[in-house]
Amino acid sequence: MNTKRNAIIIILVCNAILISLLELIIPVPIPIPGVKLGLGNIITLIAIVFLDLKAVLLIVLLRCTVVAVLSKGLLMMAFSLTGGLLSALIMWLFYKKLAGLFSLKGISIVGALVHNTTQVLVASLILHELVVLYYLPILLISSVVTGFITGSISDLTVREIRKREIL
Amino acid sequence: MNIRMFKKADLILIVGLVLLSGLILAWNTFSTSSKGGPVTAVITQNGTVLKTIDLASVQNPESLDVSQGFHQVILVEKGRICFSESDCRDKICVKSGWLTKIGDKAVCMPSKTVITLIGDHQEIDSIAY
Repeated sequence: MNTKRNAIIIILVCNAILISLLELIIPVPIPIPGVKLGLGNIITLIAIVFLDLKAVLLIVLLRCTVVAVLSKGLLMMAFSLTGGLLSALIMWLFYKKLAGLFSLKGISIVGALVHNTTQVLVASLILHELVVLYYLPILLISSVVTGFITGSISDLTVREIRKREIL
Repeated sequence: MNIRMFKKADLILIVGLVLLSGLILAWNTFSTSSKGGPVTAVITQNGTVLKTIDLASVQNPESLDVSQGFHQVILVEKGRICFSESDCRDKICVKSGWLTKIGDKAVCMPSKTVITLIGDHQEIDSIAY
């Protein structure tokens, strides 16, 4: 089973990197540092449903590092890593403890919220200036929208994987 | 476990977030734009104030070179200011467009440069530290 687990992790990491790189082509209409579609979140959610926490964090870590090195440079790695790991952890907690209350869409929105807020907090630290409150309203709305989109895609994917009994 | 539809908590979460953002937006608008008077633009880089400009007193359009590591230009006109050129990747700063009202803000993460518009009643120290 360990080989199968490793294979799944590798497949998910590759997909996460590809999706995140593809996302860079899509222009973001909102001029706020850190706000993006967060398509990599789809893979994180799938990993949360089918794998353990260690594997989930490993996938996020590898994805953020590779994407940061390939595209944005090392300063931006601080953003993706803090936001990515923290949101993965929170989503994992929500899925394990509150799955009866929230659907994957809701959990995804929570993840997007944590991700975006963390990024603007890190931005405030780097800029030595509190930009959080100014951006918070747009951050909340964009989290709902992007979280809903990625959550819906993960939801569909997870259902399909379950139906075909792949995992 | 049924994961197909929305659950009650999802809807509460969404409605709550939308309401909260509306409230903060209203608060931000109310606490800043209701105050008239002169508008001052504060340009900070790396947390230190680079320049403060009284936007009403600008007569001729002026370009400020704030390049740090890469090419970046701020354009000042009477009553408004913006990042006009930047060689950063996302160009979030340029996309922010013209800043005209008290409370408006534009940020460039790669160069750590921020433009904020404040009213004359505000201290510079209260926005940059």
